[in-house]
Amino acid sequence: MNPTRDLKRYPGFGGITWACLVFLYGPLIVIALYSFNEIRSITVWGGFSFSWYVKAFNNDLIQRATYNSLIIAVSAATASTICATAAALAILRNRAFRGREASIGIISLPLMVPEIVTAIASLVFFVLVGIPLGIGSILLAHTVFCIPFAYLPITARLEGIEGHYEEAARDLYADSWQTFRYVMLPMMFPGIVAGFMLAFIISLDDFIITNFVAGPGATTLPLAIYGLVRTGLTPEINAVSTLLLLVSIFFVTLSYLLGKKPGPGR
Amino acid sequence: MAKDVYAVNGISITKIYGTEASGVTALNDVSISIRDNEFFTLLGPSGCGKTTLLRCIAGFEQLSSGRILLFDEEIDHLSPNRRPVNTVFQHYALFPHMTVAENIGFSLRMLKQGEAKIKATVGQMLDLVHMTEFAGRHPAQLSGGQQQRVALARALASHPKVLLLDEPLSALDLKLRQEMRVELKQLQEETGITFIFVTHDQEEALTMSDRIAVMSDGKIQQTGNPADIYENPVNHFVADFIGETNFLEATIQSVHTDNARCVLANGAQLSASLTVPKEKGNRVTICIRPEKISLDNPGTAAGGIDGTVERLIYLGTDTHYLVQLGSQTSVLARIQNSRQSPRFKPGDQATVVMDESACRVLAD
Ligand SMILES: Nc1ncnc2c1ncn2[C@@H]1O[C@H](COP(=O)(O)OP(=O)(O)OP(=O)(O)O)[C@@H](O)[C@H]1O
Ligand SMILES: [Mg+2]
Repeated sequence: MNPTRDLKRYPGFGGITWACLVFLYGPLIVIALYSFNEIRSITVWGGFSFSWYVKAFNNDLIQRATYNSLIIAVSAATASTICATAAALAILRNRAFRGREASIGIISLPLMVPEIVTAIASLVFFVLVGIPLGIGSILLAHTVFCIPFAYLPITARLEGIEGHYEEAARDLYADSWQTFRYVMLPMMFPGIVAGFMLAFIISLDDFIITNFVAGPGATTLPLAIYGLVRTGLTPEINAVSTLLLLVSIFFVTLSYLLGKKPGPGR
Repeated sequence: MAKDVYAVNGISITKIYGTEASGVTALNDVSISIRDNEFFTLLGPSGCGKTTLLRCIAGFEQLSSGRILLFDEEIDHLSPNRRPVNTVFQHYALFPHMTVAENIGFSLRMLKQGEAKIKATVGQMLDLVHMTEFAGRHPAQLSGGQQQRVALARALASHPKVLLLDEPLSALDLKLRQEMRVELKQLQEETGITFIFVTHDQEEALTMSDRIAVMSDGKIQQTGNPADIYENPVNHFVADFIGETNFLEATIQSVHTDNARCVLANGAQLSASLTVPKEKGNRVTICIRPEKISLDNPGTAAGGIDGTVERLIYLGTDTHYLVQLGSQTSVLARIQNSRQSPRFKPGDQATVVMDESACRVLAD
């Protein structure tokens, strides 16, 4: 690349960059900062302390919500990753089957549908079919809307794997299951892990759909935080949010690193 | 041999990609008989159907019609993993997440052999391709030539009845390619496994093969040993595709059993061998290789055709002369640069003497 055409030389580049950084990350930093506040304020600094973290850990509601969220996120991510893997293999690897194009559309459509619409539709569906609202319905809804997110990194990975590997495995006496188990699965693995983690994060922080299909008893972490906010902002919420942020950053980074791994290989 | 049992016997194989109506005919009624323990080469230009034929034998493609027998057994209904035939892929397709040893042992594990037996066979295979010290490496850590050897070892480990090789040397540089030719040939002789080798490189085909099938347009044009293919091409395509050739338009003047007396456009007469039925008055093409033509100083040789040297290319060991014979015809002569042979310059008069036993009337 020609260094004189560097992006930095365009007028306004520095200003826009700073504006983006401040607006995107400023609030996050403030939230994280005030989670260590000594006093019960989220705008006035009163000294450093871990007390709000201790309080959050001892909060019964937060404990229960965290537990629910983790159970739901792990289960939904697992189920949606399995579906997405199967879909990716069917769509990319099988010779043309009827409805192949349609399948691709159907899988990625949920990314485009406004979430509030999905939320209402899910609620109506559950009520119509008679599925009781609670952890079960949340799990079901999360599994469904996580599939397209899990699908993306998995297909990206699979697209990079040449068809010759499968043929080589078949040629060397592997049946379809062995071909999948010993050749395709290990080669797709980084994509599958990335898909799982993306689905996990998406499920963990979903609010709108969860809020609609949760029913009265069940609560997840985002719902719990929302509930707390309505009764007044305290640094306890900052503490919980900061922890949630850290979990997200951890998973997104891991997923990014795995997705970036060069070619098929270790 | 009592009755001919072929390693691979293809009977009227036709393969059409896509639908019957609007498809590409990649193989058009191909029949082929490959003997046991043979180094058999499929040679032809790009797109002639070589890969398709291999893929049909391996089981990756369904025949549109025809049958394939493997040592007299029908294999058409068997999926690739049930055929005792292995493939060395053009780009090797070594499993990147497995070590060299794991790659080589893959087929044995799929066949559920015991660990001890697998280990022993992998050891033998590593030895066979001189890769023992690389057993623990991953394919990405190997050079092209080393990957090639691993691919060979992997395909040979289960001792298939037939090994299919699809242009396995094309990804290697020239020097390595020449080394691997020798190694491949040796490997075939040591293992006694029938090799079916695909290439579009005529030199590769001529130097390695027991027999060659020359293909074009989804058909086999000629099958024979290298000398046969080179010296007795049956048609224009084979003569043209393999080596350099002179094509001379002529009219048959008289026919003797396997020999025809022909007249060239410039009136010169020439005898050529005849393997296809032709009659007096037929317009035919005669082919002769450049090295079967010699040049003499004018007036010294009887039965020669006079011409003018138009161009010459000096190649060290020999010189290529393009000699004009009359207005429409010219021939290429390859003359060894020995002490005795006369030298010519462009514009010199020369007498062209053709070895008539090497002149052939082509079928088309
Ligand atoms: N999967 C396919 N679908 C449709 N047409 C195909 C397919 N594979 C091959 N063909 C066509 O069949 C013909 C023969 O192809 P094939 O790959 O057998 O040629 P080849 O002799 O191996 O050529 P090359 O030397 O370039 O590898 C070609 O015209 C090709 O375009
Ligand atoms: Mg090919």
